[in-house]
Amino acid sequence: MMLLDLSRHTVRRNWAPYVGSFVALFLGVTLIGLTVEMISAATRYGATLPAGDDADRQKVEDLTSLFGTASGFSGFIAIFVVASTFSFVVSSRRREIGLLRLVGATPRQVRRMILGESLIVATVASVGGTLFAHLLSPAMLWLAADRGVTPVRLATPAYWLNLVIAAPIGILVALIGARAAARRASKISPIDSMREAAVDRRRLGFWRILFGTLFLAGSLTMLVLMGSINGEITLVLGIFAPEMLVISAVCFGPVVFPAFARLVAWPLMRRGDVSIRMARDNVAAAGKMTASLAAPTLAISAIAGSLIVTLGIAADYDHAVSSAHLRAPAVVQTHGDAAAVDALRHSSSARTVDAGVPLGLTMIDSEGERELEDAQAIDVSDAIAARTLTAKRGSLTNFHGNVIALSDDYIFDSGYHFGQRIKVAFKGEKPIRVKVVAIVRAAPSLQPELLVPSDLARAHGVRGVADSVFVVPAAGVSHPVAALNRELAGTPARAESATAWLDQADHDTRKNNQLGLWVILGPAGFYSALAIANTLLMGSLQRRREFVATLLIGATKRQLRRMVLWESALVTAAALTMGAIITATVGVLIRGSLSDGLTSMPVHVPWMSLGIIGATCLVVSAAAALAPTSSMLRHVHPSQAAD
Amino acid sequence: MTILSSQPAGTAPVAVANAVTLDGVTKTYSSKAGKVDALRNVTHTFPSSTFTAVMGASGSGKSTLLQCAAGLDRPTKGHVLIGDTELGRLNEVELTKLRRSTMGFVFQSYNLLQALTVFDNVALPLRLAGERPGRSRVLGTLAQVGLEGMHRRRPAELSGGQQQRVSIARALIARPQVIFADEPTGALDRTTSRQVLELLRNVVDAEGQTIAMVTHDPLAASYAHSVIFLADGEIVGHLERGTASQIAQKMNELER
Repeated sequence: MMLLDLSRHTVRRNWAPYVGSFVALFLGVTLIGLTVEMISAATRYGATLPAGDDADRQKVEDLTSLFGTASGFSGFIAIFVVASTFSFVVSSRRREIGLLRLVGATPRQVRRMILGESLIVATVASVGGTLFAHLLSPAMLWLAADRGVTPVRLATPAYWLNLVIAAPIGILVALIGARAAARRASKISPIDSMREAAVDRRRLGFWRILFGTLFLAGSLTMLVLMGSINGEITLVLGIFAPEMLVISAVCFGPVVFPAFARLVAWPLMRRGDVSIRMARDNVAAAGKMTASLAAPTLAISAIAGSLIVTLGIAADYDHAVSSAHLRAPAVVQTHGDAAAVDALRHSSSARTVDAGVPLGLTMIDSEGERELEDAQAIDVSDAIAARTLTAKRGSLTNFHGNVIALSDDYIFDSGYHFGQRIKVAFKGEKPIRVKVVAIVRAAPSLQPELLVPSDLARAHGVRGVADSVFVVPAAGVSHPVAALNRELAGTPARAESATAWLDQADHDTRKNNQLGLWVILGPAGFYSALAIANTLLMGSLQRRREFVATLLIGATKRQLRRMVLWESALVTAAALTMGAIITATVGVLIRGSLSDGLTSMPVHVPWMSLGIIGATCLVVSAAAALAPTSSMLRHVHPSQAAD
Repeated sequence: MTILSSQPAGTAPVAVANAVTLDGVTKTYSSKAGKVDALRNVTHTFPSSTFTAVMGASGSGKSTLLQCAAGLDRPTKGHVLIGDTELGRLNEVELTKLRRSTMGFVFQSYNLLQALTVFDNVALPLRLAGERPGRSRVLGTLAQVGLEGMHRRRPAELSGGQQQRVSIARALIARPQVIFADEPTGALDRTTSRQVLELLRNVVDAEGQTIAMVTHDPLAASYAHSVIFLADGEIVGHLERGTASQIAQKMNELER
């Protein structure tokens, strides 16, 4: 009780170092709270839906799982922000903790005091976060309904559920984050109350070396695998390998980052500027500080960089595969007009009219779990002629009746296998069994992952109209697009060249990727920025004495500001260089393994997005370094050296 | 355990004759440059109700002696006893509990917790020990060091001398068997130093406290009953009730 009181006093009197933890927890709990409210609103709504309404149910489930992922992620990152904040708090209070030990605090009491501080910060942040989430949730629910994500505007649920679930999660996250710091604090010896400053003696502990080596070995294995196998599995490896490399680099951080920063500084040394020289020495000497600054920058640049490059190459791959397969020179966009499809079928200019009808197919697995998937009903001979539909396994020659063809990607993801009889249901129909007779190469721009024969679809009440019709012109038609457009006059449908259509599809894919990246990387980027700013803020708070001493020996405040700027630039540049190396390695390996078997696969490197990430990291760290230093320098005078 | 100051003021405690005993204590530090003996086979007893100064040049081992005596550092060889308790047999938690019930500390830097008021700083050792500090006990101790009416202030609102008095009050509150002081006047001016030293001497003479104080200032050492001199980790001299100039002269002789 007494220690909780001391914790409360400490946090109240000296709140600055806890701001990072507070903000991270507050926002994390807000997201978790929003998720809780969305899920409970959706669950209540889901209970009112009739059993057959799979599409609406799916929409609501997708939304809640997106929120779930985002909040899980922010909870995870919040642990790290809290951990880094509290490890700073502990190292900056070494003397004070040593003193407590000296006047009779047991190691256990010290541990409880640090946990008490985190509990206080966490309680305020968590309760605040749930309240904020409750205030935001009507707006979120309105937005979801407005954008058509939910079919109706869901009612705002009661607050207590959010408080009971989200707030304890926030507190738990804080306690997990502060655990290591509390344990370290309890190991501080009473003699530390007499030491002026603690020195970084042993930089790497046993566990760091062990985990660093394990993760390095794991990521290298993944990279070797990526180089030696072909196909889409490399994309999965391309997303996990950088994350493991980052964890490994963070483990070895106190040694690796200062060394890298020295390397980056080396060409600058020739200018002989004293600020750069001091910055380099500080960065090289303060291993832990440098590492905790570089880690978030490396994480965001390596993970975001390789994600962007991987998705970019995946789009290049789609485009290359589609170009290689699409034999029809003209594509007609019907805009849902059935008359246009009829016109094409009767047209003298068209030899093959490949009009696959989109439909929703509910897959029912052995446990009765239902999953609604996009499928297409095709006339197989047309599809073979227009888009070179070929079976990698099995045969498409007799694609009629109760059969289905699945893409190789879908087989990989879903676990269904060739020859299996799968239970499926067409919309509003009783379930039937279909046999997997063929596995085709995935070409997402040309067709969905599930293909059924058109006679089967018609027999089960599918009456849709093709969106995109692939047309092979009759012999002798020299300008198929113009000829088709003449015949389609009077309908909303328009024909265009296959190249133009593919470029448009490529453009749409990249735009969608961009949106997805924003959703995934937005919170990650925000948290990284927060971690960088937090570390720098606490770091400069600790450096008051050092600044005073440097001013005393004749440095100008301008020189000090330049030094701080150079420090952050060196650390960020070192981290970005490592991130760039990881991104480039992943990119080269993925390109190599995907382009295998394709005659040509031009790659567009998204320089713009990568550049923005790098520039943002530099700007954020420069600003976060300069702001607290400048504000401190305003109140600092060399005469304070004697204090 | 005998609580010394529960004895009537002025009478020497009889239960424990020796507050601290060092028996053949050697402390060796190993570093890349080789082994350094900070203390070599030091044997000394600090009798109860006495004020002893430990003097020596920088690096003579006086702070190491204090740290070993207080159980903050473990000797490489030899034994340390607080009263009848041998420190070498205690684990970290037992040591901590012994420290908070039998020892007080005063340092050059006052080492007060900035977040707490004067009252809470002084009451802290008792609270850590799980006791409820009586208000009158804390205020009484503050009065003893001349800080009546200051209990609501924070350390930052006090002068250096006043802060040092707070740390002396904190050392006194648990009525320890011995107070260890490391250059307690190192950061204070002459007048304030004298007041603090008189206060320390007074708690020994009037309350029967035991104090072991490390210093390099002959004037400070002259307030002690006896002075021991250290050089290169060994006790090289001893002086009873010396004046400042006698102590300074002895220091000069030893340094020659």
